[in-house]
Amino acid sequence: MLSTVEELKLIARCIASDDRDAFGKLVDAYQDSLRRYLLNLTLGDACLTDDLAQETFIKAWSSIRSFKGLAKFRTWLFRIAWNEYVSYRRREHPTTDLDTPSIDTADTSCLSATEASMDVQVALKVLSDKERTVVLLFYLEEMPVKKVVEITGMPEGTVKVYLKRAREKMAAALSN
Amino acid sequence: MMDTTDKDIARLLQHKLPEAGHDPWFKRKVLNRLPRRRSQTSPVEWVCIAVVCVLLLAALVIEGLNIIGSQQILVRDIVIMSSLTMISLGVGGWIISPYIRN
Repeated sequence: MLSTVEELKLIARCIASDDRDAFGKLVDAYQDSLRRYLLNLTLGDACLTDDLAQETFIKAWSSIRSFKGLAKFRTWLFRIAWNEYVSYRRREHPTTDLDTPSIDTADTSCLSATEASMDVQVALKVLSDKERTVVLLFYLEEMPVKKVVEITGMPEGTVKVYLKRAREKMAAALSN
Repeated sequence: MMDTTDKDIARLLQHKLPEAGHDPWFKRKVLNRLPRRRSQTSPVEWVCIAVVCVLLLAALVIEGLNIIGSQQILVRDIVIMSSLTMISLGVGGWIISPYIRN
């Protein structure tokens, strides 16, 4: 994990002289957690995860001059990742909104006992995209609500409502 | 701030959800797809550089013609020509160095 000072030095090198080695170090530092977040956001789609992760870093490189250092680089990177995912969803499924669950809560009964016992991944499927991203950022990435707000652009109250709703849905899915 | 239930959920997700797995080629894939280096010189800077180059060239030509016209080379002429030459080389090096670095 890079310290704030190391991170800012690398970013300064990227901005001042288009230093790709410095950017490579940033990619190394954040690729694992970013890809884990995207893998679970896309419900295990490894190819899509790879595409979105690459696009995220490319966008970060292209707009690195706009990074002001007010938020941590990780927060900024995850915001780009979420926006990339939203853009992908709007392109591929223009009629589906991000508040629609991936599967209907009622459908979990049709899952086999083995699948249900795999539980957590199934539980994520009953969440909408917005609920899932909030859950992943808050619980998996251990980001405080304020950072989740910065990344998703949702109001704090909405984030808390999504967290509460997601906990209830996941509890119901896990108990089925 | 996480309470006990939140910590339990966090622990559950962190243990049960799949990791993407470290991909040693991922960084290379990203770096290969990065757009080309942008020119960092703005149009205004290019105009200033052009003006400086024209002035240096004019100074070199004028001093050269003065030396030829006077038919003798003084120490002053050598100093002026050396200085102008070194400044021209310095400016030229500064202009082309980003491209060499690329």
